[in-house]
Amino acid sequence: MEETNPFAIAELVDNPEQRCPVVLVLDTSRSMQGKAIDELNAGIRQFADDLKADSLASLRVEVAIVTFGGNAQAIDVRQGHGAAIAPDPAVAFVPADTFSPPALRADGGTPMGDAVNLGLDLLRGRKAMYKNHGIPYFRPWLFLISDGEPTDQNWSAAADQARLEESLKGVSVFPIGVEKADMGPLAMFSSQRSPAKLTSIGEFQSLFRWLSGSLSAVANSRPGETVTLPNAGWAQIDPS
Amino acid sequence: MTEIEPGWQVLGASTIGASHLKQALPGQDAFMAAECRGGVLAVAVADGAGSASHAQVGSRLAARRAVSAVFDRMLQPRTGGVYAMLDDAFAQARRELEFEAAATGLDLRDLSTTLTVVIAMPDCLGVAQTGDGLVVALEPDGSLIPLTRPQRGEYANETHFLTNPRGDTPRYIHVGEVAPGFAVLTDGLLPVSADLRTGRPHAPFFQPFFTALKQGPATPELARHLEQFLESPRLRQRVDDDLTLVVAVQPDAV
Repeated sequence: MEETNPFAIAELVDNPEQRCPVVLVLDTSRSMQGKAIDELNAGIRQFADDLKADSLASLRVEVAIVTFGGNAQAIDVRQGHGAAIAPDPAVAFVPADTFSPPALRADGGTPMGDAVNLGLDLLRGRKAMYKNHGIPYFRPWLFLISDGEPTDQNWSAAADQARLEESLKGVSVFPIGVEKADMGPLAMFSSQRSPAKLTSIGEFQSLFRWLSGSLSAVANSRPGETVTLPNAGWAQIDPS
Repeated sequence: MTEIEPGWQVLGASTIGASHLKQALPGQDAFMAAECRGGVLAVAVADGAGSASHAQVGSRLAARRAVSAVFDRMLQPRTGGVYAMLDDAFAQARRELEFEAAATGLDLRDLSTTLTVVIAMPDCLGVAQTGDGLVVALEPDGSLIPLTRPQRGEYANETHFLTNPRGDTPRYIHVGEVAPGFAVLTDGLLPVSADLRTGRPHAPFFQPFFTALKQGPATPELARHLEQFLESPRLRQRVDDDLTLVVAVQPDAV
């Protein structure tokens, strides 16, 4: 039937897929050593697998990882070694289909503010790249996960910046506290939502499953659509 | 049959996007076309918002009422000109949705839809649009020019709707020379039919449709072919939204 259809010859333009950038800003400080970092790594691996299983999300979702353990750094997500790389939006992000989960190690202090600033910088740079190339994109996500409290001096300035950019609709920030994390500082990083709490490190899998499911929903959404995110069964919303 | 007025050949189809089939959602695109008195052709295309609960109702009502507004105007002794007719088509389409909301207890936002209206008069072509549709004109020399620019926000899932609060419904209006043909499409087809950077229509996408209507009438068989094209795996792989394409040609003018 296709051969006799006079419209089968209509030539399709090869425009780039619309993108949904996400930065995971992850606490890899000393307190995360042991089982916590193992569970976090396992959660990220599952996140990668889930995104790859969704054909559209695997092309549209772009992932970067920033860690804060001792210092804030962008992490290579192409090779899977977990090495630090230059904070360059051109190399820090990969489409989910080529996302190679890094093996993160935990050590050092908790410079949460520096890490959030770096994450915001990367997202801003990535959006500029999309604009220059005419690539449509969704509002970026910044996922902030910590089991402690910030140890850097200027974390509250970074939190102000995050809230400002969020109020200008430049980014959606999702702060997550793990176990005994201090929820007070985490709450300062978003004006849109209270920080969610992981009651145990065993919940990392559920958290990342929720994240991949939510990103799939965004990546599969169509123009004009408000995306309803799945219920976060893993989370306790901090009432404070 | 003695045909004195040059007639328009119009071909159109709407198909449900793969993403909607997957979620068992109804098709939220709609189109309507009518040849009105005086050889005037009215076409309306509407794309219901994915986030609106009754978008499929909103788009159908808006498209239908916009075209019937033009049809009614052409029966009047004075039409008031193409600008007034475009204005009236939008005002009536919005009123239709307001009435539907009032009559059914829905919120106007539940009926959110974009709207693109084209009125082909004997002496000019008028276009008005709220939202991210696209109208492309076939020029006498065979080239294609965009008559609208899809209205988009910064993000890929943002556009404007006919149902936005009053004063917040920017409308693009273009009135230009008569064209031997034009095409109207919803945003679902944008990624495969235009250069998204420049907004230029991709001629090899549109050409087969214009060619078919230059060569022969818009038969039901041709409409089936259009529908099959919109549902073809080749296209479905690339675009997952509802798809609507309406193509109109005035064979005598080509």
